[in-house]
Amino acid sequence: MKRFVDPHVIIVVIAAFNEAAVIGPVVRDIRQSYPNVVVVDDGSSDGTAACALASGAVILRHPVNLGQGAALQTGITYALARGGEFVVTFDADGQHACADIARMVRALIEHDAEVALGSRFLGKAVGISTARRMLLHLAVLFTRLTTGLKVTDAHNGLRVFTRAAARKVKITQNRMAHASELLDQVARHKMSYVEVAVTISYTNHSRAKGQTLLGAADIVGDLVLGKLARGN
Amino acid sequence: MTVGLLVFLVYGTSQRGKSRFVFYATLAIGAAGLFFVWMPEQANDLAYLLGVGRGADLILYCWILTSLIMALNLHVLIRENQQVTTELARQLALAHPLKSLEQINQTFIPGTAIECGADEIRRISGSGAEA
Repeated sequence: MKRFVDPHVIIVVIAAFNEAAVIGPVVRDIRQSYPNVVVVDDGSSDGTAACALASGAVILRHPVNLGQGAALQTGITYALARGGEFVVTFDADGQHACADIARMVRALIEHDAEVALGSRFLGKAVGISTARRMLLHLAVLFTRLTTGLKVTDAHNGLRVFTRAAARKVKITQNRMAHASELLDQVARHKMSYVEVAVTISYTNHSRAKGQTLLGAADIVGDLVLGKLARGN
Repeated sequence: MTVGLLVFLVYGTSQRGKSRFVFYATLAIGAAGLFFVWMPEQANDLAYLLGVGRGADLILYCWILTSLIMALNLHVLIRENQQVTTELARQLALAHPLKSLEQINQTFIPGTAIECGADEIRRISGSGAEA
């Protein structure tokens, strides 16, 4: 079984919207281990693109703000076009730990899986509020009921796809419902997956950008409308 | 009323390629509407069976339901337009990866400013990206 992976075949995709305050350190941290970082600037009006570029990332820029799901799909499409063997999705707000990527890639190989999903509830959620923890557990319950996947974390932005899995992914939910849509596609395409314990460190910045109860209602609404759009 | 319902049925038929749910719901409600318009006494009988009381009330409820379905259909159409916009933006982004500050400045929304640290912006000069 192949155990060593060349970091150059791992492409890290970061969707960013008005993240100039944090994107630079995030990109620099990742590039110490993985040189290929793609930041999809989702129509930011601050210096997100400039800061990410200064840190060594390739920048893809949406001319208008579309949402995190749309930006991730743009990045995944780019990563596949550049020949990436592993595609990592990583949040821009600095709450993920770069060291978790290696463990997730290793888990993919060891379990011969197609998708590695980060789980803060198998690992650590530093600084998480009780309200957010409850909201995320509700999301897990919703995901289990709608997809049948026995996941422990449904909205974790740290994921690793093999090239084959990334080719099957087609995110149509532009905004935050993409996380549920991705898991739905994992179930629908019967992709093999492994959950890996990761660390999420909440900061004031990431808390301000996180989901609220109303945001969760929007996600459910988007998912229902998405299902109705073509009767699928 | 008959003409109005026929127009509604034509509208429903035009939606068959966009949403099967809206198509079938519009057909069912439109056909029921025509039936009650042509045979109002049946509307009274059915309303009595359903506990609504009057046929006119039953038709009013059906109309509200119809309006909700049309609003839902508009949401679906807006969503489809968003998908077209998304694909257009995606292809633009993929066709022009940005590799210099000058390129970034050209894509900035007028009236906004780059707020990255000055030291970092200076480092951009002449640097490329590896991916």
